[in-house]
Amino acid sequence: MIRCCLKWLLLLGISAGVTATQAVVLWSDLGTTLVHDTGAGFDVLGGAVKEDDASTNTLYFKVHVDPLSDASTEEYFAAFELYEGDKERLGIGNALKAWAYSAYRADATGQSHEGADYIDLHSSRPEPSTSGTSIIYENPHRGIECTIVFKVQYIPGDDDLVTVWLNPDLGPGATEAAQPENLITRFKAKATFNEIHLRHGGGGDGWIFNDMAIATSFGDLVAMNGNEIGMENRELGKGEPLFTFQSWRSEQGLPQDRVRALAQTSDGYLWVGTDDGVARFDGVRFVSYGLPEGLPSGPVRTLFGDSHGSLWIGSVGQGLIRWQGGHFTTFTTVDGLPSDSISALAEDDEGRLWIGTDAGLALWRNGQITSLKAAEEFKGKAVTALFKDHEGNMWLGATDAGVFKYRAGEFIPLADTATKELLQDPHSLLVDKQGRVWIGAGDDFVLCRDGEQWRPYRIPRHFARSYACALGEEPDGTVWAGSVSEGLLEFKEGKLVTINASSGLSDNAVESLLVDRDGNLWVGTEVGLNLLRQKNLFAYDQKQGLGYGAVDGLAEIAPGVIWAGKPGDGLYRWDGRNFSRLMSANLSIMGQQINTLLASRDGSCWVAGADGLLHFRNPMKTTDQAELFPLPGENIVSLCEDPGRGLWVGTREGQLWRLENQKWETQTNLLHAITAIVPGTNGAMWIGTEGDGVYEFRGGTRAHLDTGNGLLSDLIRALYLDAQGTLWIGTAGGGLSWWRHGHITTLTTREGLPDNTISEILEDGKGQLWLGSNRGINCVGKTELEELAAGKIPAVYPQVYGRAEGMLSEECSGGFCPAGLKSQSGQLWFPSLKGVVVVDPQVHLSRMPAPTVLLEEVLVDGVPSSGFQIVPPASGERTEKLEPAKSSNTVLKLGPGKHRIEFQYTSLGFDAPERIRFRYRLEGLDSDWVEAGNRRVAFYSYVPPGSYQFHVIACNADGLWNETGATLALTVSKFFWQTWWFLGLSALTLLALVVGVVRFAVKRRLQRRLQQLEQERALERERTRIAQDLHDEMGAKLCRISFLSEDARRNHHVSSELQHQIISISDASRDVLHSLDEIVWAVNPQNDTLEHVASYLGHYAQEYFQETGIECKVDIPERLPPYPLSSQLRHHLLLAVHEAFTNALKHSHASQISVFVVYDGAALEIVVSDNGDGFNPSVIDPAVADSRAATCNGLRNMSRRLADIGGRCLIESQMGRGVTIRFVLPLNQPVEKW
Amino acid sequence: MITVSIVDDEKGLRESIGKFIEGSPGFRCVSAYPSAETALKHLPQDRPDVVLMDIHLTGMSGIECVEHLKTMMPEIQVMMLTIYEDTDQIFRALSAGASGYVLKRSTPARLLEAIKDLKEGGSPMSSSIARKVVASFQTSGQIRDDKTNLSPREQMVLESMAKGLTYKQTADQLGISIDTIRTYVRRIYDKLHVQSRTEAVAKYLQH
Repeated sequence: MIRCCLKWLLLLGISAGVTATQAVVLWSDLGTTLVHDTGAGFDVLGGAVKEDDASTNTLYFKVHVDPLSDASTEEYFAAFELYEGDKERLGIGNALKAWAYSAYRADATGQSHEGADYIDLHSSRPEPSTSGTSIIYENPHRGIECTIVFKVQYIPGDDDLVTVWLNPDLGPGATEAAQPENLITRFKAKATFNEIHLRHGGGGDGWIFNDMAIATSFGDLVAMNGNEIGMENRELGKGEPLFTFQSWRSEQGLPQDRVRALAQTSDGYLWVGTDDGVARFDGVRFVSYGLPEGLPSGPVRTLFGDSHGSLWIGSVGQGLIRWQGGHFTTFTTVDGLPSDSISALAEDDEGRLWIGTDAGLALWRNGQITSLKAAEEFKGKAVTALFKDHEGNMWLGATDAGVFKYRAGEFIPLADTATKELLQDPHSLLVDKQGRVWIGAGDDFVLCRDGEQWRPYRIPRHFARSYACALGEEPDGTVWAGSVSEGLLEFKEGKLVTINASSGLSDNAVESLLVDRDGNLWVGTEVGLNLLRQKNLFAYDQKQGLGYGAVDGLAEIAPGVIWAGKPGDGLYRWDGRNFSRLMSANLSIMGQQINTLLASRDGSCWVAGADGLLHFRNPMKTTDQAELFPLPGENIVSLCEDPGRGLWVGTREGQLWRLENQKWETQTNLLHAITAIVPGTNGAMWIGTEGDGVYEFRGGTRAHLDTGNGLLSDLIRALYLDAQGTLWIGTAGGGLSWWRHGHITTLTTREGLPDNTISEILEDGKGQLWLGSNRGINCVGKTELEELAAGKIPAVYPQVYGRAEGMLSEECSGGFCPAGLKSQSGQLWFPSLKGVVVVDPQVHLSRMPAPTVLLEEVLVDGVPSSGFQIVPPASGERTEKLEPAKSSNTVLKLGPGKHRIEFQYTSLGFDAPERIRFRYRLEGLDSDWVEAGNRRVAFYSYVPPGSYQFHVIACNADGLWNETGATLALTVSKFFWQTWWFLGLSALTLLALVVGVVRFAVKRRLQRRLQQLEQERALERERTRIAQDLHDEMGAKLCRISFLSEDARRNHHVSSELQHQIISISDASRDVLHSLDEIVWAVNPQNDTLEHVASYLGHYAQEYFQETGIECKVDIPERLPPYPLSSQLRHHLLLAVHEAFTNALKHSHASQISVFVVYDGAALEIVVSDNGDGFNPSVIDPAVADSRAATCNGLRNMSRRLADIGGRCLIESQMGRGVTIRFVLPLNQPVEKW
Repeated sequence: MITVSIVDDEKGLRESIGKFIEGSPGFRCVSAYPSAETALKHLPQDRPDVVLMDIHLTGMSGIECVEHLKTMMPEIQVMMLTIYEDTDQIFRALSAGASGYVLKRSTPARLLEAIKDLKEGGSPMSSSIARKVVASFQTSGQIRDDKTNLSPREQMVLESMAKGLTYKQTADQLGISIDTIRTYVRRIYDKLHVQSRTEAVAKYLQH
């Protein structure tokens, strides 16, 4: 009896003690445990908690389940099972026969018979119903995790009351009572226990249990969920992987998908070993090296970059290959290697390369392969792992030998009884900064030796062989293991977290790991290369309980607690892990149409919808009464608090209202939907409208900004006034504009903005603007925008977050205010057409250094120039001081001719390579820097001969420039025919030639002319001679006749008749002489000038009319130039004149005749006019045979004669007025020059 | 009685002219020479009033002969005989000292007339000759004195002749008699001769 009482007291005491200590977590296991085919399993409690039949406590159990076996792998069972000793009591999970999440009870004997007695658990996310029957339970689905909370109210001596909540709301402020009914299952069962087993049996791969706890109240479990105020990252799902991966596959340029090995050389390049050769990566471009470059073909097993800048390639069966200075050198068994299959490489502090092969260890030093004496024991054994720790010690792992530390010439084995077998099968080795030794051993273990303690981690696996083939350590101490079938494993703070394809890893079969110099983690898998990135963008939608469709309003009602409004779907609340629908009776008043939300300064929250506002004074308690402020007929889309106590309300109809002290004051009607309101300075309010630009509203007066002022669109979507007073304006179709000091600058797709519709403008703590647009979220620095406005840069390069970063829909919703939310912890929330997107801008907090710049290749006419090599910096460490990448000190010399030159440069930055911007310049050709953006090639289609220097610099995403960059001197030689001396010489030669030719031509002409003249002269001389001879011969004799006849005449015995005859004879002979005289005169070349002709003419005229009775008047100009007239000319002219004289003499009956010679410089004119009868020119009839006809003939002759010599004959006459004959001879024929 | 001497290398002509002159009343042909050389040898003794000199002679030319003749016998009147009117030659002869010229083909009557004119102090001039004379006076050399300068009257006559006016026309124009014209022309020739001789001397002296 007393014993009973004591027992009771004890129990009371215990229970009192237990109950006295309210709100306590009795036991928890936050780690991950995979259970598969466990049979009865084993206890996880370790005696921490127990309840027996006498207990009256109430315990709350929580377990989180990630089922691998699911409905598709039935039949199976998996459970979190309470055991009392070896007796089964209550199992929660999935019963063998059950499909859904279920609980099963054991019978009185403690046997569950595979959960024969099972109860399906109610669920709030039941399976979709078919054929009308409503199913209220939920089947386990692989990939969809589930939290099960169950409460046991212990009743002494009887079955206990069990309440199970399937996926309850464990958000802040969640209570037991507030849980929806539809996820509660209640039954009675015997639940006394002192052990908890995690079990699985049957089909499938098992279940993963984590986050298990036992507490005394529901609130403890809620609190455990990380919902305390002030905790970091509470919004971003705890338990949700914070990582994402950037992947490269063959589509992105990776030469082969299988990344078997990874290494980084001292110049910064990343090297990837594939099934056939290696590829070099600079963050943007892969360059393959294989058989054509001299690398033996075959798969690469391991890669290593040594401290001298070489890359070592361990192949499968082709030996060890070294890449240095552009060519490959192979070492095989011939050179002393124990085997041609290389499995591990490392470098010790003495600069020796340790080579682990399939048949032992070898060393390489200064071109020689040697062996280590102490490594004799590994002969014939496969050395699978080599590592140099932070102190410089070498570690070795070999199959069937163990793991060893090399010290003082000896290999000291690691020993541990428990893991002895595992140590015989090491796959990978790592010694972290803290000195812990990590070994990937056996099929699925990672052993960690911390001091003397060994801690085995078992890899939760789906495949038989899932060993850790690679290990890596991040700068912050996180150790990573890559499993050949399970993906990545993160060991942090004693926990193992699997990160696999579901987080974005390209494939779960990891082959290699590398932590590069900047601390980035690279994962090479069977299908692709991955770079681990901290996830800073999270997209929440249905999976997080947000329901389907778009979100518009967002408000932070309490630190970390976000309300999201969905049009047509009501209000949801985010608790840090999930969204849940807010069931508030008040909301039903408003209907489901929520347009926007505003969290007020006083802690209350305004909800705007159709027809009015709902005011929640205490949003944390939604069950409280909310006040409705109706605005019938108006669709409220914008809300804003002014610095006073008023709430500004804008509607879709264009009405602007102010609500103060619960009274509506109408402000104005802008006729266009009011999509944005922000408070300005001095009590003004900036109002953005849809279709009419932006108004500054100041108690009635308004300034206006629209397309007239410089905006590109009048459809305003968002407004934001920053601390510097700049008003940022997001428009639909017109990009982003900003207004400052009365001046508007606009950024559109032309300047680098990905999309021209900006619906959200949020500023983070680093002066960057995050813009929600129709093409994702764009982040651009304000300083960059200032530079754009100042004209210093032509474009900006914003960081873009879209589907690739995890957004489900790239379109951000907008058209209401406030749009987007910056939470108190600094995260940025964007509403989109599919749920919400949360971005953590603080992820990239570390200041990126200025990027390195390397000149990779120079292509001349499309062919890589052989005279150019990249010389990597000698030291393996990257110095803080950026030295220009030394291209060969020699100058690149190009031969003469037209060359196309391509400079391929790069920057080795893996963080955000697409944001690295370049500028280059070919000094000597370019007058200024060429902005290349993120283009990595400079192209010159023609470089004239000369000396140049190519200079390229780069800046990173933060705008930090590496001004030294990379340079290369280059000369293009001239063709010999381009050199100055040749050109000069040829110019001179040309000149001389020209001159020579000209002179030759001149001379030739002169000569010809001379010849011609000579000929003419000869001819003339001949003529003259003939004439003269004639004249001389005949002249004298004729004269004689004249005198003889005169003498005869004088003879008195001669009759008068005879006298007459004699006179005739002498006259005739004188005539002959006269004619001869004329002929000779005409022919005489000395008489060939104008002067002579004129004077002869005068004389001739006088002589002709001497005895005729006609008075002849001659007028010749005093001075006549010695213009040359050819004999032909003279001849014709004289004959013509003679003809004129004859006419005048015979037919004119004139008494006077005048002969004028006129010369006006251009023509010679001889005018013969008489005062005779004249004639009527028109009456001349050639047929009439009289004097007129003769005149006519004569006239015709004259005309002909003049025409023959290029002149003309003009005849003027009038009856009774005499005849004037004008002979005109143009003398302007140019004197024939040479 | 006018005494005439003929210098011509054509025998037949020489004899015909000689006979003709002899047969003409008031004229007497005192000698006939076939060449300048023989003429120069004998003419100083003959002392005719007028010498009829052919321009073209074998050996020394008629022009040269005139020069020499005028040097030896300055007051002698030389009439050049020429078959055709070679203005240059005639001008040269006039410059050399001839006082006139006549064409061989002139009528014999004309010949006599010309000789008579010459004896009386006149000289024939054709427009061509006149022009040449004008040109010569304009371009004459350095030494210029009253002896060589033409008087205004002489200038006018020369110009008119150069223009082509006949003696008669010139006389009409200037209001003087033809004889006066002839006298002027003679003076012009004399000055021409002087001028040319002076030039020759000057040239000679220069060398």
